Amino acid sequence: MSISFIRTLFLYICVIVALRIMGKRQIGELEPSELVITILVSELAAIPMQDLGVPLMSGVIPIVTLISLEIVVSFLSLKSIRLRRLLNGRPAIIIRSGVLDRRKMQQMRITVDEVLEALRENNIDSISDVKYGVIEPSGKLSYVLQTPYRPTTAEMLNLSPQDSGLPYIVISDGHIIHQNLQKLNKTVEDIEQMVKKAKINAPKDVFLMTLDDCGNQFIQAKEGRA
Amino acid sequence: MRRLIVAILLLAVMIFGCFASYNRLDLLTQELAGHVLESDALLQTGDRAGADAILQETYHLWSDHRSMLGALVRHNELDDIENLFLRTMQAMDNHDNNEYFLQSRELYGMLLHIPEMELPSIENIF
Repeated sequence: MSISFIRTLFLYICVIVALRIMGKRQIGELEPSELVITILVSELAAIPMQDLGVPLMSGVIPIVTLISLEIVVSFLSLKSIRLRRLLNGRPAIIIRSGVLDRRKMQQMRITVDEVLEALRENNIDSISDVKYGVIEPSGKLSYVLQTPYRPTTAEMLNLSPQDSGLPYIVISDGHIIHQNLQKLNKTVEDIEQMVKKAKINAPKDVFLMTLDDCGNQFIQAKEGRA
Repeated sequence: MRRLIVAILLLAVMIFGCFASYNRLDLLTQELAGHVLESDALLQTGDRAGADAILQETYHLWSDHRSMLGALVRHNELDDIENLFLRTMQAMDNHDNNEYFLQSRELYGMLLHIPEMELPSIENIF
């Protein structure tokens, strides 16, 4: 049993490192080849975990090889449009000016029900509201709305709302994150003052505090500490 | 770019490792099989003590490399060879020449079989 345990620990670390080397992607945004690699890596790691007669290298070597190949192929895809299209396919426009392209839908093997479902998920209730509907290589439907149906922006209303920046976490579960403070050119004393203004005793009583470079802040105290 | 360099280096290490591991396995098993044949030849000439000494030495050489072999070869194959060594040595102790030659031949064949599994040949790949 100890062998199973140690192998599982080792392979877990190996898979985490391998996926980390592969790069940051959410599961829903993986290209087809990346999704296949991710599934394969987990299957390969399971083999030496379950079969103790198989050498550990029988799992590690294929994992390392797959990840390395994926990185090399990704790099080549960046440089070559042809290779990228070969591996990932092209986006396909299935809605133009509110009209479905039936031929394209047949080529992509997409049904009307699937298109309507994807539109509803994006709070679009009619195909006629969409100027362009595009099936991306990942299989997701992206869209550009017709001008009258686009969400109103501040610019359209001649408004100038307060600017906002990228929020950084400066306190997390009572701990001050000094690295982010440096990025915002703030000191610990500045944060303590902000916390006191929010009627909280000290940074250690804060559950979450975010701050951006435009001065916008969010503070939430720990329960019972406000 | 750094990831790409790491990936290419890892692939190069894998490729080099494939050839190096096969080469290492081949040399070791050839040496072991050679010693087994040597032991056979000595026993056939009647030198039991000499044959036994070589067999014991071969077994120690095998045991010394067991960890390395465990990282490269399926463990049931290694267990089979381990058992064959023990049976061969027991046959030697029992002064049972027929049994000894039977077991040593099988041992010889198994030892030479191991690197064949690592060889990137058409039949192994497909």
